[in-house]
Amino acid sequence: MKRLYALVAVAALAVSLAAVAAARTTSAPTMTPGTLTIAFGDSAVNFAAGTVHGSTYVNPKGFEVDLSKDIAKALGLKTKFVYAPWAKLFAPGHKSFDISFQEATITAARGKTVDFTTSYFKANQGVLISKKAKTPHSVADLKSDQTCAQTDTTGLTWIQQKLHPTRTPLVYQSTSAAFLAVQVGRCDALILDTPIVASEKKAHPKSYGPVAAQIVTHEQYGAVLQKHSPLTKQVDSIIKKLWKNGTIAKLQKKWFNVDFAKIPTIK
Amino acid sequence: MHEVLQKFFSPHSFRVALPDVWMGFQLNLKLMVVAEILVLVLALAIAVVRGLPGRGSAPFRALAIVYTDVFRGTPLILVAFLVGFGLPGLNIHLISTQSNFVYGVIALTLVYTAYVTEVYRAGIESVHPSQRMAARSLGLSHWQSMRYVVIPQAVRRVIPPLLNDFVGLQKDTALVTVIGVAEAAQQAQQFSQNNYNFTSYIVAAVFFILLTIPLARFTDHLILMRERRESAHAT
Repeated sequence: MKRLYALVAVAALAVSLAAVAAARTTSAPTMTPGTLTIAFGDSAVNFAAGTVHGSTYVNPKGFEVDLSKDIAKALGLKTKFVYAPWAKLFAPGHKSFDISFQEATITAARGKTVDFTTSYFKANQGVLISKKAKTPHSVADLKSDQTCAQTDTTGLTWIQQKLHPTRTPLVYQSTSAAFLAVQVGRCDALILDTPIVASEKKAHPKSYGPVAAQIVTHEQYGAVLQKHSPLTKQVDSIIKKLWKNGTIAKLQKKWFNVDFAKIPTIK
Repeated sequence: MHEVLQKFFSPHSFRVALPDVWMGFQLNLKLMVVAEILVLVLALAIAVVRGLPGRGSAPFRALAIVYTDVFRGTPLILVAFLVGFGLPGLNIHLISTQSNFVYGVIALTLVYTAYVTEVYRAGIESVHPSQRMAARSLGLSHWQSMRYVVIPQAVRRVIPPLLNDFVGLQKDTALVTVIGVAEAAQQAQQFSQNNYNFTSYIVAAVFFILLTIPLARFTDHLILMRERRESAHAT
């Protein structure tokens, strides 16, 4: 009789363990069970900035970091921050993260190789000029400048498809290299998302000329996941909830207390 | 399998990417030719300085040694960053206002001159000391014996390793993409990112291979010729 009780107890335990395990895997199918692996790119002031040690991101701070923490919390997961280079972000195939926030504009072409969440930020393209460059008052003024951009950005696409400058744009692998090029005067005008250049200018005002202009493109940032990731739908509904309950607006005010509308738009 | 063929070897993408990558590759060719000429001349000069006799030339020898040690030990990508971003940052007239092409040439020349100096030095030291002594006993000065006796023999001996370094230089021209030079690798990257296809990298690789294969065969030929010549001496 005793033996029977023991057997029943073991069986019950096994069933309940299996149920727990099953519940875990269905609630959040991540790379490491129980942990959401979140990737950021090169430090972008106010979005996600921190120190990269090997592939881990140490103590990142910014809008995207807070947002990712809220999302992980809603999923019931712990967070792990890693570094993922921008140049590889939209390459097809396996990703080294569950989700990545890199101020990535949602485009149809990129959507062929990765999953995008619904938008968590809206932005235009900003023109950050070097200290010795002349302020452009129109898109035509920009044509004769030495422009530069980061590889695989909507800013670069804009230069190549809309601006058609007289001088070949300089293309850099990382945001930091592009900023450096403006600092040392290699590049007259960097075309990159307004919040990124405005934040950088605010953080290091003496290194650059003004954010002279912005070009209205109405870009929407989405988080990047591996194509067909089972997480995308869940994250989408969480982001929608965070928009609705005012969390995202609060975070934007906390990190970007900059009025982007004050930057003149050029056509 | 079909996926791999489409992503890496799509004939359509090959045709479309070809003009862009070729445009970039012309820059690689220019970088390579200009840098190689500078390297061959400067490296020989530094190798000769390293071999200068006497106590009076000790500081010059030391400088040559420090130069080769530093630039042989520094990765090209760091030198490219230092030259391509550092020099313009100095804000000095002429030094800071060159094109990225010029900075690319400077970085490549600095690093490869250090390698090639060592190749020349090995060649100079491989010439038997009796040759030099014989030249000096005929009344030739140090410079004359170097110019007419040692260096002609030394250079001939090191042509195969020189060509080997030349191949390395050709390939490393792709590294200056990091300072914003729109060369073949960068053009290939842009095509790849705009079209989600890796065939453009294959196009660039094909260009580099087509350039190095004739050089490799030429090196083989030179080695064979020398072996024949030397074995003819023996008999």
